[in-house]
Amino acid sequence: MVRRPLSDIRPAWLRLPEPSDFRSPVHDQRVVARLGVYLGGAILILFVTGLVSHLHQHPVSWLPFGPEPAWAYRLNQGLHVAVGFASLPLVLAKLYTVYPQFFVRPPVTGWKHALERASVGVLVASTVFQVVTGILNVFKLYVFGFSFTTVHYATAWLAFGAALVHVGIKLPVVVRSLAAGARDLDAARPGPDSPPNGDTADGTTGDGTTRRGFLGSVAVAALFVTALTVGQTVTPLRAIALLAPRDPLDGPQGLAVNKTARAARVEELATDPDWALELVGPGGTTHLTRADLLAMSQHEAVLPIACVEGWSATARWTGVRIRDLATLSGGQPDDPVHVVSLQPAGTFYSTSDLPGAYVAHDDTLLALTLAGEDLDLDHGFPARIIAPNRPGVLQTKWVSRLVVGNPT
Amino acid sequence: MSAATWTRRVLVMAGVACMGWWAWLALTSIPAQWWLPWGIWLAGSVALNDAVIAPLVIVLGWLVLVRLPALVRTRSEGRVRASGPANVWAGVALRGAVMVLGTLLLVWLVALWSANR
Repeated sequence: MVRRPLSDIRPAWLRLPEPSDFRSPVHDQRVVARLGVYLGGAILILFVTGLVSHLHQHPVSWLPFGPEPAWAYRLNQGLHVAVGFASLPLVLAKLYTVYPQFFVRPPVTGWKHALERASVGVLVASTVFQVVTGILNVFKLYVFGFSFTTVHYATAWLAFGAALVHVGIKLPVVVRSLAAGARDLDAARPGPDSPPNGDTADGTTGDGTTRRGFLGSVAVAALFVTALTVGQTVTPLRAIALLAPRDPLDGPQGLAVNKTARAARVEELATDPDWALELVGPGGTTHLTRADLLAMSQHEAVLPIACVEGWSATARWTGVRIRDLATLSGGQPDDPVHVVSLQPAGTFYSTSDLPGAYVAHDDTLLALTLAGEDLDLDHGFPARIIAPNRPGVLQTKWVSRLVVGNPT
Repeated sequence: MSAATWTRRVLVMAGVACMGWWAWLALTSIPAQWWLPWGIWLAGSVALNDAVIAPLVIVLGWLVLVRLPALVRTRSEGRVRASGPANVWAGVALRGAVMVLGTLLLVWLVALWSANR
């Protein structure tokens, strides 16, 4: 009995596709190169803004961030999240245009080819991972099995590194593809280094209309998804932010809340009439009730609260300057201050640190009121930190203790 | 050595350095119990695109841009056929609609998931 190879008895429609089976004109290096440039720009913005956000939360001595300009973190994180959303259609389109390369045979022709394909695999995995987990984080869907911030930060280095390697490898093709300008998209011939896929075989066109149309639709998709989400930080656009997870002005006292008092398990402690701020400094420890704090010199600051998930809004806060409290404790007005919350010890962001430059700033407050009213419990009653140019997670709510300087 | 070659080498070396830093971070700041879910999410992200989204778009494109027009042509044999440019713009509009609506659908699904939790 003669045994026929499987490929002979398998129906034609069941065989694995080959690159030449994908006959759409958008599977072309001219399209791939342009999408690559757009996506590369997005990756660069995401990497830099992500790094800035990380360094705000994990400061290093050689690159300190200060309280000025007050709007900088809001802009940084708004840009990070907006570009992250806009990257979704870019990534999908880029992967779609290069999809035929997935079926190249033989899969590997040598060690150089193997390395190149491995680097592309790493780039695809890390880029898709970053976009997907980033969007899930914006919607507070923590379904990962790992800490989002730590792993998202580490993977950013992998994605950025893989992107640099990929650009280094593909640079000649990109330059050739872009050199002829946009009019070259009109040419029916395959682009530089393209497999000779039949440009007209899908029955659409032999000119570049489909390619330009495809690039245009990617731009429109990016624009739409941005417009429907960016209202969470660009408040004039909040009416059309249909896909944004939160309205920045929807919450108690007209301001959104990320973590409620109930979620933080502080309801009982924060409403305890015996609450008093424990102020520890070089001069010793003192306890200040809310009435004591209200009796001190009050200062008003109009500052944005900017969340790492991308939403932000400006509000009017009133309270005691932190530098006044630092001085009261026997310390200097630019001593660093360690802030402790009523939240259970060990929970995320139950403590924070204010560097000296922030402590000395006019607008860095232990806020007691918001929009002229006592702080709502969900906004951090009885007292919270508010400072310019600072991530929302570091604007510690339900403050119980301030430690000024480095008291022994 | 040309400037282009230098540029490429610098880009590749910088990229490898970044990936090296990633490896260092993975070993020193990521707890070992997170490595498995991390790997699953990395691989799963690729699998989601390569095995689900991209083939779905390919099949959809084939159905809408190749198969359906072919069926229409067969049925309208003997009649005046649609002109070429009309087909072109139909293709552009359909691809655009798939891209725009598909992207919004993905984000909407995430929003729906979040709202139901």
